[in-house]
Amino acid sequence: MSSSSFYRKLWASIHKREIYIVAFLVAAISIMSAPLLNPDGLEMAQVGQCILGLLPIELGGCDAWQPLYYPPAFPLLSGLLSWVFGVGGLFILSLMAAGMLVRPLSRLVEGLSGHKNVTAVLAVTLLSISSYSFYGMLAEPRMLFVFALFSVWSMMLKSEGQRPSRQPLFAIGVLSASLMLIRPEGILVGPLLVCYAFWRLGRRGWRVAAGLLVVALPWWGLLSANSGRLTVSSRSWELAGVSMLSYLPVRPLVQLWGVGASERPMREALSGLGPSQFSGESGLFDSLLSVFSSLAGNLPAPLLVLAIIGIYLSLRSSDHRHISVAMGLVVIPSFALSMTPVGRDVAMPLNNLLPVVFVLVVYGVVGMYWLSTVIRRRMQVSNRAAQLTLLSSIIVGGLFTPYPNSQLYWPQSSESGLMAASWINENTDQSETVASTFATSPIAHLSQRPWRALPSRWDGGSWSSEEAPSWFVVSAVDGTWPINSPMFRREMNIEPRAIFSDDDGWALVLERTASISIRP
Amino acid sequence: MIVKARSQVFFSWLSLLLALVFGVSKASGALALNTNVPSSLGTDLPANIQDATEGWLRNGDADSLSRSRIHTMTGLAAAWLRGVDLSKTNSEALAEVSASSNSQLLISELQVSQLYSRVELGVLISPAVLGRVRQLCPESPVSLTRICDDEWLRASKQALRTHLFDLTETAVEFAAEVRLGDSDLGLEAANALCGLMSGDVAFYEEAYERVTASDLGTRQHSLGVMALSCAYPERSRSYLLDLVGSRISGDAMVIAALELARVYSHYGGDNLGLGTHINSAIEWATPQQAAALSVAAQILEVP
Repeated sequence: MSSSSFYRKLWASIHKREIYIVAFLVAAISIMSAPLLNPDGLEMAQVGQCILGLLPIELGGCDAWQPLYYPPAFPLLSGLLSWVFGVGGLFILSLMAAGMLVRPLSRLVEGLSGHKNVTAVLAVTLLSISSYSFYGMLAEPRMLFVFALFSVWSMMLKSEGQRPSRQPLFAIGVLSASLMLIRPEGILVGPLLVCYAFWRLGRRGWRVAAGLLVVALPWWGLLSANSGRLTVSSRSWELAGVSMLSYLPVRPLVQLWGVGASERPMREALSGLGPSQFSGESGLFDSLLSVFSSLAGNLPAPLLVLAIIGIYLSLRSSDHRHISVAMGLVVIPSFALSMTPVGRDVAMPLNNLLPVVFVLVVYGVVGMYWLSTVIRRRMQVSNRAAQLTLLSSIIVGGLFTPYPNSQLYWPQSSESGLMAASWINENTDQSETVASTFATSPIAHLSQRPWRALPSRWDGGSWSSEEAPSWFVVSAVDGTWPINSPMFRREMNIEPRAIFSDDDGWALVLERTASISIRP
Repeated sequence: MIVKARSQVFFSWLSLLLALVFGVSKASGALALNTNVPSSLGTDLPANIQDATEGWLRNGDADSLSRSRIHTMTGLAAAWLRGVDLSKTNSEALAEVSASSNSQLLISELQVSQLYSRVELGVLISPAVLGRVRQLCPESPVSLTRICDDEWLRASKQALRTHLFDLTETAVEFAAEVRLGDSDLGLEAANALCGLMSGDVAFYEEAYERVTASDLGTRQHSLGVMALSCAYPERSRSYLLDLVGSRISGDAMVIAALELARVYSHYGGDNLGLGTHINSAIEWATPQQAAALSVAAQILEVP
């Protein structure tokens, strides 16, 4: 057998097995999790369709959105995919990214443990984590970001073992920069990777830096030109807004802050100020405690124990120390973000900790391989039996961790929300506008009607009779503030038209009309 | 051999494609709209919502409204309260709807003391409903007869005010975005305080004394300022302007500036003095305070 055919066969055999596993993961995630439309993810797709000129005119609103508010990779890709495949297309990126994540994670486990063919074990471990399947069916860019993050680091670590002429360092730099086009915190990944490259490769690290700048400079230039000042992130104003947490209650702050890509007064004012100091009621220790309790409360306990073993072993081994340094650099941005008041999410505590979760999975599998070897030697059982026992313990532990979806009400994915969307679709004219808060906007979007944001308590002015929406939808996630808004009271005569409720919440459809008349 | 390997690779990719098609189809199916949804459809409620509304508000009683689970749908109750001709409603039913239109966390917290019934709380917190019930005295239903007793009403409002003030100290952790539900009890208490004060100047003056006596920069003071400004924006203006102009008011000036800006954005009027106050405060404020003050200035500039 010639060497070229050997490599071709090797390539085919490796990829075929892994592709089967990726396919298994995609199918398993689809079965295990219900699809969840995130208001941000849905709006990103629409912004992407606006940029691509694909959004139907009647569903417009493109002029009200800031195309650069969201990093553009997910909006463009999900906009295109949802245009081709409909609402189901919104989930393709998350599903594929979740499935393919097993590849870079496998390379890291192999590098740390020395074992080969770890993909199947890793796949089962991933499925035992409820957050994995949850984010795999959540239409937003977090899973795509995590996949890209681990792919870049996996490539970087692999390239260290290659001949200098074969190292794809420039491409690695380009890919690391592309992370900032997926999620705002991606801006931290590239510089950390460059530092690592200089540490490990010396002057060749410049190639990574050059690749990074080739993508980053045009992006930063575009952002700066758009905002009229030097800026490297379209979300930097949010950092300035964090300081307001110590002044305002949360709900008015969120209304003032504004969500989504539409203009809000606070965003306008803050965008010119740049980042300011974080403030909040909790200190560094409280923040760290909060992060650790989120991880401990949402991951299988056996996996955490095995991860601690894996981390200990990897730090002891000088051969693997550089991989542990790389993993440390992976978790730094997540930790930094999760320790800010805005980075902590009461309802979905692992939102900004996903990279940390998967680093723990990597070390958990490393710890599992080591412990299974110990068990095999001490108890005279087969290696397979020892591994299956440990894997089972992780799976059982996973059954006792909460599913993220159970902690919050999703009007857009609830039965009541879908019924409200169906009701609007069936009983309103296609040109009629539906107004709601940003959180409830997916109901309006699903109903295939143009959407308008409800004014917050800070928005003055009034809608003229021509521009005032005919329909409103309010859900349990809103509470009563939309209806109690002074502007609403002054301008509108609204009447409840339909109410849908389920065990989790309710969605109410209202029509702007004459006041309810009580017949004598 | 190579052909076999290639076909195996092909099948592996095919399996991935099929898995993806399955996932996308499942997602599309789960989010598909129901067709032929009649306009009268609405779970938990009679088919004709308007008839039900009219019926309940004219003839209903608190028990039947509670059984209909209105209190689980605060948005619906709040919507029902607007546009309704109060003179033609059943006051007991109206009181229940009023209670339902508030945060249920707050209502249950206020009921802990057992000093008031649910419908009494609905009346006490809503000035419009209180006015309607007082008009009907002394023919009010049994459940609301205490409202007609001036002394009881005065004492109850004062006790309720104290309780609500205490609740404004309740802290809440920041939750990302808007997944908040009824979680901010302090803010809900401040909203109820606004309702309690509205239409009763003497009562407002007492609340004003209480707010101005509380420590600057505390959550209780911030929410108190917001409640005062909500109930009587014009009367509160001078105090809020003082806060903005005072170097010792600390973070309280931020709340005051934002409240003044909010009131201006809703009710208009002369903002010249306000803009001057805010701009001069920006000059000596800390960077964080200046950032927040510039937001208030920005709100003033929106046409």
